[in-house]
Amino acid sequence: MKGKNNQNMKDNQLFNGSLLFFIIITGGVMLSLINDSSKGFAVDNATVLTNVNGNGHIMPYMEFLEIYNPEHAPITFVDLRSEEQFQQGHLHNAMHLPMSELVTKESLRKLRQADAELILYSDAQHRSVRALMMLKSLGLKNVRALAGNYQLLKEKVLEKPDPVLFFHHEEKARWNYLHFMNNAHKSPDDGASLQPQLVIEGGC
Amino acid sequence: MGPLIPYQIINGDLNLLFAFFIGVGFGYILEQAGFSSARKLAGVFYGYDFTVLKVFFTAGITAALGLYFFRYLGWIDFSMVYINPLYIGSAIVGGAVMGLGFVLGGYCPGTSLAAAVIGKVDAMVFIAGMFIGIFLFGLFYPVFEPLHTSHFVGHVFIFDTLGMPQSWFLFILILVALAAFIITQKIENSSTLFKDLLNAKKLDVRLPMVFLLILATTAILLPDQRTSMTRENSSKEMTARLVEENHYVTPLKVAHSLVYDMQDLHLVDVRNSDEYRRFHLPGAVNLPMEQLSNHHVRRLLNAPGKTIVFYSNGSTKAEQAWFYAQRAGYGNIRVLKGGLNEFFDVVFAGGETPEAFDPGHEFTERFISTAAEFFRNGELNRRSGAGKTIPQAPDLELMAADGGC
Repeated sequence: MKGKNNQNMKDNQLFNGSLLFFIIITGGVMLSLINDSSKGFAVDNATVLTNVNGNGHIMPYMEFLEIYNPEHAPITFVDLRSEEQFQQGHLHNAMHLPMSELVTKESLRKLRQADAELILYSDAQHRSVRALMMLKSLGLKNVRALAGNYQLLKEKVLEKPDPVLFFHHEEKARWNYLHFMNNAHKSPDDGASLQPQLVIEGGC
Repeated sequence: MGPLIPYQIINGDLNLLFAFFIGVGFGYILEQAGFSSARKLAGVFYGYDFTVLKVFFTAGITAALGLYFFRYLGWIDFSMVYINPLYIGSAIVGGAVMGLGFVLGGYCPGTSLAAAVIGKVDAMVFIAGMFIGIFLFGLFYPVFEPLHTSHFVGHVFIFDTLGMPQSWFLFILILVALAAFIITQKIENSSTLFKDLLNAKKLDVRLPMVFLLILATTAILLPDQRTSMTRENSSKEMTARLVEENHYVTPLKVAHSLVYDMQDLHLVDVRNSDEYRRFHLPGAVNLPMEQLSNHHVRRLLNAPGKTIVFYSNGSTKAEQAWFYAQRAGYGNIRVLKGGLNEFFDVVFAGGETPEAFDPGHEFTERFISTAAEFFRNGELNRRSGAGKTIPQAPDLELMAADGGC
C-alpha cells in the first residue's frame, strides 16, 4: 500500500507542478494580451530608429528655398521656440508650438489635422531633432525637421544667402579632424596659426 | 544571481549563499529522481531505464518554455541571460569523452557528488578521477588549446542556425520530447535487462503532456513578440524629457575627462564605422546608430553606475540615438553637446566657453590650452589607436553564470 501512496504523491506532485506552470504562463499571456503595452506611443522604438536613419528627414536649406513659396504644395512650418522668440520673427505662416506644449492633446490634434507636410524648426538643431523623434514615435508620418536653427536660416539663407550653407548639415564633419591632429604639432608656432580645414560640401 | 546582482539590488557577496541553496536544491532533485544510483544512470545507455532522458528533457523544455514566455511577457531581460558560446571541435570531442566516462563510471559530475555524499565509494572514486582529469587537462593545456578554441561559431541559437522562428522550434522540440517519452516508455516496458530495477513507476503523465502541448501551440499562435517593454519609458515620461535638457555633457567636460584620464565617462561613437575608423575620440567605442536595437548592445548600455556619452559629428545623430536609448529605458546616457564639431571648436579654435564648466574664466583658458597641447602632442593619436567595435568588447560583459552539469 505504501508504494501506491508514494505513487499517488508523485502523480499529484507532477500534476500540481505542471498545472502551476501552466497557470502562471497562460495567466501572464492573457494579461499581456489585454494590457496595452505600447506605453502611449504609436510606433515601436526600433521602427522609429530605422525610420530616421539616413538623413532624409532633415531638410537642407537648398530644398527649403525650393518649397518656401506660396505656389508650392501645402507645408506647415512649426516653430518650436518660446513666445518671445516667436514674436521677434518667424517664418511666414508658421504655426507656433513651444516645446513644452508639443505633446498636448490640443497640439497633436492641430498637427494631425494640418493636411500638409510638417517642417519643424527651433533655435537649436538638437531641439528640433528631439521633437522630430517624439512626433515620429507618436505616429505622425509626414514630419521633418529643418537643418540648423532659425538664426542661421534668417541670416544666411533668407537675408544674405550664403551658398556654402545650402547643403549644410550639422552632422557633416566641419573639421578634418585627423589631418588637424596630425599636423598641428608640426607647425613652428605650435599649431596656433594652423587653421582647421573646413570641409566644404555642396556644388553648383 | 542575475539579474538581482548586476542591477545591484542585492549585494554581490551573497552569490555564494545563493549558490549554496541552489546546490542543495539541485542535489535534492537528483537524489529523489534516483540519480545517486549508477545503475539507474547508466540505464539510458543500455536501454532499460530512461529516467535520465526524461528528467533532463523535461527540464530542458520547461526552461525553454519558461524563458520563451517570460521573455515575451517582459518578465526577463533576455540580454542578461548567458548563452553558451559554441566551439564545434571541442563540443564534439568533449561530448564524446564525457559520454564515455558516463558509461564507464555510471556517473556524471553532478550526480557523482550526490552519490558520494551518501557514502557510495564508487562515486568517490569517480570524483577523484574527475579531478585527475581536470588536473591533466590544465597541465597539458597547450596541447589541447588549438582544439579547445577551434571552430568558434558564436553564441548561437539552434533555431537561428536552422533558420526557423523560435516559436516553431520550441513547438517541434516539445513534440519530439513527448514522442521520446512515449517511445522510451515502450522500450522500458519491453526490456528484459535488469528488470528488477523497473519499480512500478507509471506516472499519469497525460495531463502534464497536454499542458505542454497547449503551451507550445500558444507559443506559435501568439502575436509577434515585441521586445521587452517593461523597461521602456512611457510617452508621458518622454514628454517630460523633451523639455528638460540635462542630458548634455559639454566638450570641455569631455576634454577634461580625457586629459586627466578620469575614466568616468564612457564614450560611444554613434557614427558609422568608416567615420569611426578615420577618427574617433580616445577610448570611444563604435556603435553605429542603426545597431542600437541589437540584442547584445543591451549589455553595453545596461551598465549601472557608468555614465555613457553618445557623440557624433554634430548633435543630431547622437540626439536621435539618445532618444531611442532613453525611450528604451536606459537611464544613464548623455550626449556630447555639439558633437565633435563643437569639441574642436572649443578646444582648438577658441570657441565660446560654455558656462557649465566655468569655475573661473582664467582657469578655463589655461585648461583649454593644456588640453589643446595634450591632444596635439599626439596623446589623442596614441590613445585613439586602439578602437573597439561592438560586440567584441569583453570587458563590458556583465557577470554571468557559466553553464555546467
